[in-house]
Amino acid sequence: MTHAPQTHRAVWRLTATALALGALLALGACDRRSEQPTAGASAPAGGQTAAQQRPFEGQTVTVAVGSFMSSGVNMFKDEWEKRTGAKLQVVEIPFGDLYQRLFASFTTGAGEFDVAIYAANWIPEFAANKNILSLEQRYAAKDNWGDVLDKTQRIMYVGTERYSVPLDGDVLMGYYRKDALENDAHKQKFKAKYGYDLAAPTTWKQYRDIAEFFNGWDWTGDGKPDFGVLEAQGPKDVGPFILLSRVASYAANPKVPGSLFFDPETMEPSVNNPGWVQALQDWVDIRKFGPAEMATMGGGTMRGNFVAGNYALAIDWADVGIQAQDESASIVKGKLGYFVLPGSDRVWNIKAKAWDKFPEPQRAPYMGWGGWHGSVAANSKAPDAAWDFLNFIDSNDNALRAVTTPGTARNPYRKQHFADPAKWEQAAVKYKEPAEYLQVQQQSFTHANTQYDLRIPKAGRYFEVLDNWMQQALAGTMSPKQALDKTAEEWKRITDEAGKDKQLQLYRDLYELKSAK
Amino acid sequence: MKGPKHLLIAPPLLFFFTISLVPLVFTIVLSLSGYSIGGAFSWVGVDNYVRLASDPMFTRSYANTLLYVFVGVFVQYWLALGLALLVNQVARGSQPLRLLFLLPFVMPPLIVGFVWQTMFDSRYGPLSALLGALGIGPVLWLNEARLAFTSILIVDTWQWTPFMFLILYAGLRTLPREPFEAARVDGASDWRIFWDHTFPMLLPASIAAILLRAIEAFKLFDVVFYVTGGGPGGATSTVTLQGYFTALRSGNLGYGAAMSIVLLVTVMVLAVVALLTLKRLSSRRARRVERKLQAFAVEFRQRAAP
Repeated sequence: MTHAPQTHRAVWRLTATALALGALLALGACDRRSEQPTAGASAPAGGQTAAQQRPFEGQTVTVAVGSFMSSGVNMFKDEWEKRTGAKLQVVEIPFGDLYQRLFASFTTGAGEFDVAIYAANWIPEFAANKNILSLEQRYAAKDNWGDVLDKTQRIMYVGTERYSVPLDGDVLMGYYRKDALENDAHKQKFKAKYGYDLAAPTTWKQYRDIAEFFNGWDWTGDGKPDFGVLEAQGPKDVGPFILLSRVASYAANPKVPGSLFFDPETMEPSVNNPGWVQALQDWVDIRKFGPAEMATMGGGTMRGNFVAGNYALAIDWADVGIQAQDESASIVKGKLGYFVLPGSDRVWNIKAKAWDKFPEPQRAPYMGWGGWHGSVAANSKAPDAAWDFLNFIDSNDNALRAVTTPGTARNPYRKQHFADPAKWEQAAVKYKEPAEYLQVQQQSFTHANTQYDLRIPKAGRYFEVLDNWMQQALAGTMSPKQALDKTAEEWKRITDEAGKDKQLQLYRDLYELKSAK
Repeated sequence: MKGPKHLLIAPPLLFFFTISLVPLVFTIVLSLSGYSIGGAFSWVGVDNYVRLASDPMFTRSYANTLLYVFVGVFVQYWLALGLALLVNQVARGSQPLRLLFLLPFVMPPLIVGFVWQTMFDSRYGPLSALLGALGIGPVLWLNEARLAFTSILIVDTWQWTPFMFLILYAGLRTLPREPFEAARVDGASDWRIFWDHTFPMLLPASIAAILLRAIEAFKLFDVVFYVTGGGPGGATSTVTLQGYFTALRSGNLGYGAAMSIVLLVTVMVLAVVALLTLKRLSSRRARRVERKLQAFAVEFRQRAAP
């Protein structure tokens, strides 16, 4: 009994101490936050010259960027901080979580980021929700806008206003091994078997024939059997974009603009029409001409494997070309040829509900993902500094430096990037024979039938659903038609959730079609 | 005088309430809504649960999860028990052995996933090379549905058997020696000693190991995420993985929350059933052991009496 009062006193003392410590910590955190000056408040007492030289002294700009592109931001951090006096905080977000993280931050008003670097496809959704600032007025002062590729310019607009700064150009392209396709002995055997000359494929049938021809035998002379093709077919990764590389040529009918994803009159999904079904069937069939591991490969794994192994063909963005130049991990430097995505001599017409036949293969290069773009968050406390940073990393010199440096995930998007191949040979990437690489990309961007990616709200969910069901077709648990029928059902539900009329209007606007009746 | 006592237990109660109950209630409420990130909150009642019942992706993930738990825990238990019995017999050098056995358990999931993905690679993996040398192959470990499922089981077993081993080994070390010595003196075979003495006396440790492991197995995520991503075609997907993609990748929080609640209810029901069943079994065995010990004590007294 004599102990009880002493025990109570000890406990109360301990509790009081803990509470006091907690209060001190909380006050300390508050103090740190209040130390950040507001814009312009920290002009040094030396006069205007110092303030002009370091115009954002004391400010902090927080940049949210997908993991693939973080080095493309970090390479400019120190330089920009020194130039402006501001601090740059780079928040790297895993690629798969980027959309949700940004969306959650914007919709909850958390104000975590001043700058978001993300897929151009998401611009319309973020702009419509007023999550990002219109930069239209700021563009008056930007001196290198005209150099941006036309199609990259187009995807930055929502209505008549621009909401982003372009940092990257994305278009899918084909790669082939020169030591496979340009070998005379191989050419003879191929012609004898297939009846036409072996060359970079112009149709998906040729692509399949070449993949079949080079699969399962040693065409490199290293004593091991080699493969015909390597593509990223793994779940929850870039699979839908690789599939769409095929779909576009079978389903993007130049006579019915805007019909690749939806009927532009009714918003009915096009995803289960015969054009899509043919493309998915092709993609299922191609599996037998590559390693079984293709079924689990994401984009990053596929690139690493392609440049380190022996595969005759591949489909990817421009990243494989960059990665191929790193001789510590690549055995294909100087061995790669390039081609615009193959086409098809028949394309599905959603209005006629029949195949349109064409005398020449119809190509439809596909700007999958849209490229990395940077926007200023609507609730940014440092919008001027944020814009300045984006402008800085998009300056002519810095943009060229970024696209010619390995690992930045920034691919060419300005006309000057394609103008002088010699700069690629001399740059950090030390690209061997870049002329054809650049030419194919430029042709893909400027083709009359180049297709934009899906850019309406919930684009991520549409693709998620597509990925789920196309995996079933790839695994053989259902036919491509069944898988795409299921996809169409869910796409309708997503459209209804988002508001069919709203989605239709935006879809038509993005394809520059007149308003639906 | 009771007042200060109740006040003193308030902080841990508050902590428990905040950490455990609040998220649970929140998840249940979310599961009854059609809420997705960026959308408006709306009540849908049990619609999410009805939809789950007819969602082939979810039902497959659910079936996979149950198989992983029952088959995986069964295999891991007997493997771990065998290892524990072997190591228990080692007089010298058991500590390095124990440390070696624990290595898979302490490896980060990312490394486990990467290592086994490489092991299973039909082009470069050592497993394929070994099987190729024996004239078998190529084996598509991760690309055929049943094989991919088996591969995940192999990885899970490799990673978690040490955990069971740890508990069972500790249990073995605490068993009294006398019954075993008496049994040997009586000429009992190793099998009879194991079945009549070791296994029943080890039941409490076995129950603990199986329950803890099973609860953990229901949450299988990291190995599947890194090794197969849930493929091919959902053949290796689990409820947790499906819930993650639904709630956090697709932003469909209400539907994802419903998946979590279904998993929680399943775990609770199975845990209660397992506990009741094992309690009955152990009490039956405990009575048998007690009878044997009593018979031993009587015989000992008779022999010891002059």
